[in-house]
Amino acid sequence: MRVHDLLRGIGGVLAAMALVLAAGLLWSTGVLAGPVEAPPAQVVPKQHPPFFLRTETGEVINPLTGENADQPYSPRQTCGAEGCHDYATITLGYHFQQGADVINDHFDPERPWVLSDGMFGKY
Amino acid sequence: MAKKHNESPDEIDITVWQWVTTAPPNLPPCAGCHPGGGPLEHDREGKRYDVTLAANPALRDSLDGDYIGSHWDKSGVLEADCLICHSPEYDWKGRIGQLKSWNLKWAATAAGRLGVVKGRIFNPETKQLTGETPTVVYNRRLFNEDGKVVLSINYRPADANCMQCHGPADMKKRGFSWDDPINPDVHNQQGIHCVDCHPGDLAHNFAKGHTTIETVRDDLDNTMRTCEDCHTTGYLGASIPQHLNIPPSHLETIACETCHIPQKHRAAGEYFDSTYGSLHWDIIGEAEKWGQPADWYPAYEFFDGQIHPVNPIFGIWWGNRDADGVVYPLFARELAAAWEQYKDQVTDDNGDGFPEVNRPEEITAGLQALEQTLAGNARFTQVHPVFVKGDKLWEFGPDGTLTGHPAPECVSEAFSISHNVAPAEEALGAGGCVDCHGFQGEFFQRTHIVDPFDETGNPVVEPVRWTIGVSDFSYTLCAVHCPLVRPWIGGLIMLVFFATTLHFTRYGPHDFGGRPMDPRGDDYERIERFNWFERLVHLVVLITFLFLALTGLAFAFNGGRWLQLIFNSTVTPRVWHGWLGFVFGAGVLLMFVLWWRDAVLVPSDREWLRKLGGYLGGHEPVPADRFNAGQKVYFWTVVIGGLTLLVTGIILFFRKSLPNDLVFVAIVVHDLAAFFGISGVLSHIYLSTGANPGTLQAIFAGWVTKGWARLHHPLWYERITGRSAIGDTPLSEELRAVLAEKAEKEKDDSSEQRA
Repeated sequence: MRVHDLLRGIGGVLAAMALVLAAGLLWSTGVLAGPVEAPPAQVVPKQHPPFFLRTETGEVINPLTGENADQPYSPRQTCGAEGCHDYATITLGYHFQQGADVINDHFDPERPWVLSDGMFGKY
Repeated sequence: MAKKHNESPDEIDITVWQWVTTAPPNLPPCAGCHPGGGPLEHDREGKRYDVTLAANPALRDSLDGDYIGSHWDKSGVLEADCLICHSPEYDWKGRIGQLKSWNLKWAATAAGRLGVVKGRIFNPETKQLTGETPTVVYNRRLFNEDGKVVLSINYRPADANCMQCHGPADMKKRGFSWDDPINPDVHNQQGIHCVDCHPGDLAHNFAKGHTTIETVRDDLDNTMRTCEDCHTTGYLGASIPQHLNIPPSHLETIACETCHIPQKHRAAGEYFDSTYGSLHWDIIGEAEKWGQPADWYPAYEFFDGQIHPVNPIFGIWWGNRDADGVVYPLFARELAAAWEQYKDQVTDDNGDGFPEVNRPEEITAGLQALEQTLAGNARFTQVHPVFVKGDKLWEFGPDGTLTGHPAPECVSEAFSISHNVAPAEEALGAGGCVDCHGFQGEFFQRTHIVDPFDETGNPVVEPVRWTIGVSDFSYTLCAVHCPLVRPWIGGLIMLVFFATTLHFTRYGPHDFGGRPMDPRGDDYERIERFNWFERLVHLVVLITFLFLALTGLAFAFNGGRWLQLIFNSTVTPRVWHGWLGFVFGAGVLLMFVLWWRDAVLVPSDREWLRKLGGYLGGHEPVPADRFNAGQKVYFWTVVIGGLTLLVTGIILFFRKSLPNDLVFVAIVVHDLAAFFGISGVLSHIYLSTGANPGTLQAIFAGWVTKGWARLHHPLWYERITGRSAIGDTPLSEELRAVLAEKAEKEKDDSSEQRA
């Protein structure tokens, strides 16, 4: 009888321990989040191919022939020419907008002098 | 920045045109760094500035914040200059020169070093329009025969391009520099580049961290690679530190940067003063300019639930409390006008070459001057100037007297620090707890400025520990406990080992003087000492205590290494430590319910205590009921100590939601209770094994022999068996008297019952 009681007591302890350990495991799940997967290495082109410079109106600048050779080049027309780079999307990036995408005369009623959350309008 | 729509010139501060083209000498205009496109190309209604102004020149003289005073029609607009980030040969200073000359659409060509721009629209020296239309002379050597240009273009922006703008700006805010032997960063030294941690995408939204102040595009916060991203995976060869000597709680509540950027070595800004109508910056330490070599320590701030290193920058500024109750910062021209009126009344008290408004009479003079110069200002409906300096806002009260009081406007801009990471060997904590917690530890003793000038012109400072919620009480408690108490109190455990070994060597097993009992026929019969439930509760308490003690000692002495052998982690046992603590506490409470009646001290216990239970020699048994006096004292110690551990453990379990003072006290009390508890349990184990053979099975199997009971617990023996324990046993006179008195009392009780 005593042996039976002893075994039953040990069984109870083990059951209690199992419950506690299970709770600890659940608790630790958040703490022991799996390692962050390393991002893939970026493919870096070796060299940008040659390209035509273009004026604001999209005309080619060719200093060797003198074509529009005294005009400044336009990044919008040059880099965005023929679909090479999506100028419109790129200039929506926050380095370019810096709050201009949300600027408003009534942006912050509590601080009426603050017009956006970025450097363009924040000060 | 000026609003788009204004009703009076008084409302207009810096316009978009000024934002792009205007800056003090030797400083770039804002558009120097802002790379073009977006608001530098299109107005707030999405129209190109140059086209719109050319079509409607009257906008130049309107109150439109995008066009007032502008010459977009001559300058063109600033399209996004791709080369500012992608060209390793970019001429950033050349860009600044073009902007200040209003050659906006020529800036990309000149700064990209594609050619030479001849002519300028505006002469910044004479501040006159030149009437010129700039032209370009391209560098023909950059072009192929077919007219295509060949440029060196980086797909990934090089660090130097990032530093063109982030170098000067973040030096002022944070003392940040990169590729700098004086102010090094281990990541830079290992060849890590800006875009390794801040990768961009084709939409050119670079991954952001999450700093204390930056607010733009919050949806991109925490998109960059964090310390954990690399230092838990080994990405780019990053080391994978175990931090085994650092208590896990520290890793939860302290940001990596706090310990790993213990010091900065280039001067940052400390505070600025706008009193004169232009910003006067004070630089940290003895440096005269930002970026000069200077050693300084960051301050700290709670942010996102962790302590982060910061550089708090105070602004000394003036404002006007308008009728709506809002304090509007004053424009530079408004401050300059007032300064001209009262500057002769302000002295340079600290001898730094700049007069400071710090004494009441100086503040009064400034406020009175503003009352005059702001009169009639169309942007206010009420003139009530205020002065904000340090932790007080100064203004005239209703009775006209000057009052200074704390106000929501009295906040510093704390710029978080995340670069210039030191080698691990220099991190706080690499030298042990005393790096921070001792009275010599620098962390909690550092100070930061809360008011740039007191009335003598000297700064007012306070300990940075206050800003992270650590009071002087908590600091002192920890400064004593961690470096002075904790290491030495551990010796108590060794002392117990020594004492028990010494006792056993001197006295051996406790046999009450070596006198044998007079044998009785039933001495070897078994009687139940503890029932199954009592044994179960004791077993639960024992097992949980052993786990808690072993893991707790590992945490306390920062030696979690061995825990990895079992758990492969130092975090998992900490989690279990918390949960099993609740089981232990419940067990202690059950023990209290089961045994408190047997543990009440009675008069006969005095003799046991007087003779110390015979453990220091003696030839006579001592009176003891179910528990002897020593066990009773131990029982109450366990109950009180166990409950202390439970309560303080609960506090530590919920530490993040509780005040630091309470948590710090709980840590100290928990440690002390645990250390004494472990020592007590070691003694308890010795007394139930080596010191008293035949005792151990009582708590595991539940039985003892009658002979054992007769010798060790004579009063309990009599109560259980109904027989006298005296016999020929050499009891003391005192015990005989106690037993006789007890027998007499029982006899009287039984007589009463019979009656």
